Amino acid sequence: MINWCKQPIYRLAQAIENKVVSVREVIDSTLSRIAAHDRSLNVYTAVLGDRARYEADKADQLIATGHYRGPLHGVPISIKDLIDVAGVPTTSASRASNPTAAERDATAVARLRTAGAIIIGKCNLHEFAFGTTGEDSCFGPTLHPLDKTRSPGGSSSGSAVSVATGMAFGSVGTDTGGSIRIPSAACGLVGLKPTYGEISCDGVTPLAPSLDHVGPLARCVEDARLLYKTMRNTPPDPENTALPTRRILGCPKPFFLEQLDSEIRTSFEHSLTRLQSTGWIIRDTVVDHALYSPAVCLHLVLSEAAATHMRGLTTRADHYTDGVRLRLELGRYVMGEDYARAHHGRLVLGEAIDAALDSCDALVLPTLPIPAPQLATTTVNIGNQPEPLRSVMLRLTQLFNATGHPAISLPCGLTTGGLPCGLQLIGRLNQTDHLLNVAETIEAVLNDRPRPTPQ
Amino acid sequence: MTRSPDEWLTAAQADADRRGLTQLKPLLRVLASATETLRKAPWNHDAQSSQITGHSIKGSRRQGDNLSPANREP
Repeated sequence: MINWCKQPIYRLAQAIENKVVSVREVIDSTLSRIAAHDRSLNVYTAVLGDRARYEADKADQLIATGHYRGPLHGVPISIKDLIDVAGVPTTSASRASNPTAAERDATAVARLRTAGAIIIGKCNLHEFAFGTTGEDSCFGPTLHPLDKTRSPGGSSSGSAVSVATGMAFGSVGTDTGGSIRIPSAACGLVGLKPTYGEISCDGVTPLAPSLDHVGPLARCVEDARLLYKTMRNTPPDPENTALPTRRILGCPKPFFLEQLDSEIRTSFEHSLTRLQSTGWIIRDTVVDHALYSPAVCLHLVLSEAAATHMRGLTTRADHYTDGVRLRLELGRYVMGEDYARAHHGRLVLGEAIDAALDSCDALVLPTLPIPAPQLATTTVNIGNQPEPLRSVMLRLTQLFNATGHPAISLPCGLTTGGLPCGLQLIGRLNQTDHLLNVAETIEAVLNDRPRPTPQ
Repeated sequence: MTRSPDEWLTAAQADADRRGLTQLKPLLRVLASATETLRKAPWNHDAQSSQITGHSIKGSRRQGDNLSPANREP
């Protein structure tokens, strides 16, 4: 018997359309998995079981009367609890959030529902999406499904674990410095941050508005593409949907590959070798000024987060977790002239990425410099240099939030301890479709790399 | 008021003490270090110099040019 909960959406969709499985069976089996595993992993902040069963029955009736709505018809999707779902409070995993129920769905959620998706529940996260581990949450930390002493990465921690464990078929997360790609890499999933602004942030609690992105976490590129296409604002530009013809990837070694955990480096290099063996050309390239990207991103995110949380910090500062509150307070000390320098820097860095992309289909680099970290870790040593965990986890992802370039993380093997490693691809601005085409081609090559097998 | 990162750090740490946020002090040191790096970046404009510093910005609009809530509307 097929365990539908572990199948990709595209395969489930065929089974639903052909009535091999009913939507009600899919929802019931997903809810059973949630009942079995959620408590031990702390994935969901709200499970919408009754509503999901009601919608499942309606979805089955539609199919019975010949009204199949497409590949998301009846598919259970989870939503990061920073994104509005009508009738449910958006907690942002914080006691400082507004406890009243959202009046309407966020635009991205509404588009998924229109396409037939069933919202199965809302997922735990790092408080207000301001962290990389998922540990600072009023619901407690989400745990890694392969090793409960580790973080699954964040801030979309619950979203990632829901998909990795079969408690949802896909999830919607947000990414301000890597919050979709980081947990996707740590949990062996595909995570897409589209070009800035392609998916509306309407109905999403802001963190840093010029850096915030909405995007999918999924089991494969095809599923990520389906969720992205359903949620995005505009139809695709036909010029940007062509398959990659050059088959050239640019690898920006300076800065990005200088400080990597040895097992991450080995997995990344094996992946590049595998790609080369199938005809891909890997060319060394440089993103000028990348060394400055942590300083640029820090000034942007701190200033904007302090601004969006000014009222919360003024009226209920003690309701935040200590770690998040301190970082928000830190933003109040950034000087305006330095925010201006950082804003200038993001434009310079954006041009540098454009230049690096000139001669290739996409840039290729790891997603996370380390495997999923142990819980309660504050510093890590790479090459005997202690560095704050947060800085390490953001190093390879945050620049593309500042510049808005689309970025996707793909699974690319396991460490000797069985923890997933992620490979990141960066595409040209407004060419997310092309990036997905490149990613799909590469995913097909890397499919023989070891994959995680969570419970 | 323009301050060097050292002057800024001294003032910010005193302010954190005054507000009872002593745990903020190590983070302020990290921010001061990042600010120092940012101010040394080669792209920074300098009105006192006739030399063009840093990168030329092309005419195209980019993310962050407009921080209005446009991104928040469908």
